[in-house]
Amino acid sequence: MTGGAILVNAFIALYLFVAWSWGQPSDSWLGRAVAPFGKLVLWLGLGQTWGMFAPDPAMVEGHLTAVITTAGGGRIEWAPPRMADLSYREAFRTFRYQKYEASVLDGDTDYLRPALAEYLMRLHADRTPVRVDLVYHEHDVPGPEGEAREEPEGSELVFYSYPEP
Amino acid sequence: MISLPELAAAWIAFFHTPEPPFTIALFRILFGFVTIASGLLYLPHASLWLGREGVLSHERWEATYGGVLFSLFRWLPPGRGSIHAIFALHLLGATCLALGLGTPVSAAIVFVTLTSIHHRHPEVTHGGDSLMRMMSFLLIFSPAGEAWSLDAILAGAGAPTPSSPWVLRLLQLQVSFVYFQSFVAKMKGETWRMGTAVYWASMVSDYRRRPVPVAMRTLWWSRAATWGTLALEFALGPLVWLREFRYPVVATAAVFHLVLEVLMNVQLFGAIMLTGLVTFVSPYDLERLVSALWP
Repeated sequence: MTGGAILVNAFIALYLFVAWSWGQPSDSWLGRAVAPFGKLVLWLGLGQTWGMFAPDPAMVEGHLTAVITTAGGGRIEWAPPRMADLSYREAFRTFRYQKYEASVLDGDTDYLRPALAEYLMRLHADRTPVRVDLVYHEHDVPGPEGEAREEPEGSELVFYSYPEP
Repeated sequence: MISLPELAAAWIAFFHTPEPPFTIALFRILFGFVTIASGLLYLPHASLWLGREGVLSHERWEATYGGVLFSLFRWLPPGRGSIHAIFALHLLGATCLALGLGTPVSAAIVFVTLTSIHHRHPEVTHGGDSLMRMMSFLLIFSPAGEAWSLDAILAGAGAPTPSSPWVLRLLQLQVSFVYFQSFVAKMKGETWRMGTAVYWASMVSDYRRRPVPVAMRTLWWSRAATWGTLALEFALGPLVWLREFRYPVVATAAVFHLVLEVLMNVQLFGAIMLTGLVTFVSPYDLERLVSALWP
């Protein structure tokens, strides 16, 4: 076997090893084995995460809005585009808003919240904004036929305020 | 039991038995077009997602991801000029990749620019984007430009020489792995095991392309669709590797993605997965098909 062939086979083995081990718990032996390559794989964008609609899809409609309070006491409301309100073409084009909205609502990526608040303050700088509240709106979705489910209810919650206290 | 020499022989037979590069060439063309579409769909919103004054300012991004994720945006001035330059390079690379012009270099350009764009704002990317990065990375090492390409025409070559299909095998394994790992992840979810997951996924209005017909809001329909999805994703793990099952499994998966396209808004996810499924088409079958269409 030539040096080139050895390199190719080592590359294949490494790629498969990383692909198989990446999603394993960090305290498992596979998780520990892949850890030395973790930073490089992450840096290159070759980490393997395939969780679309898994393990469980949302059982409620959750939406984000923002309320911007101005120095004069006025209120400006902002919301990302609602896919359900858009045409087929527009919803297709603005698909990434859904992921962004979910990420802002997700506690694991809460660094997006001050960044969004700062963006909204810049967007409305002419009206001297002093505060931004991010609000989570939730509505139950009716259950499938045959499944007991309470009547759909709605609720809302201010989950982040800027500037932070 | 299998001996080490037998294992080595099986490895070499699987990864390195030469075959014509038609499958990887078709994959390259389709992947190039999907990449162009992805770039054009991102471009109108690029300033919002990637811009200095967008929803994730350069300073906030740098503070969170600086050094952790590769992106050309780290080293370029944070302004519209950099965004336009990276997208121009990205679309140029994707066009050259689809045409098969300077194939390894164009694949490398696509990988670098795609990763730069995705990593500048990872929270607006999805599984399909991750798969695109891996596909473009693997294409760098492939003979995808040796057939149905400008590279082949410019070289004045005749029929392409069969070569080691190890990159194609890795792409196939990658696609198979995505489905199988998705199956494993879904099995951890109660709604998937109970058979209600598809109902919930289709009822959330932001993913729904059109109202779900009344007949499809029933529990039995949801169970059939949910468990059918699980069966298909499982089949795309081991069964797609058995010659007798390969085309039925791939065809079922293609129909699954087309139905998903009709009912749900998942943008280019379906196109990316369908492109991945093309890797399972035999190059000999493709050669026969092309010969029949253009004798």
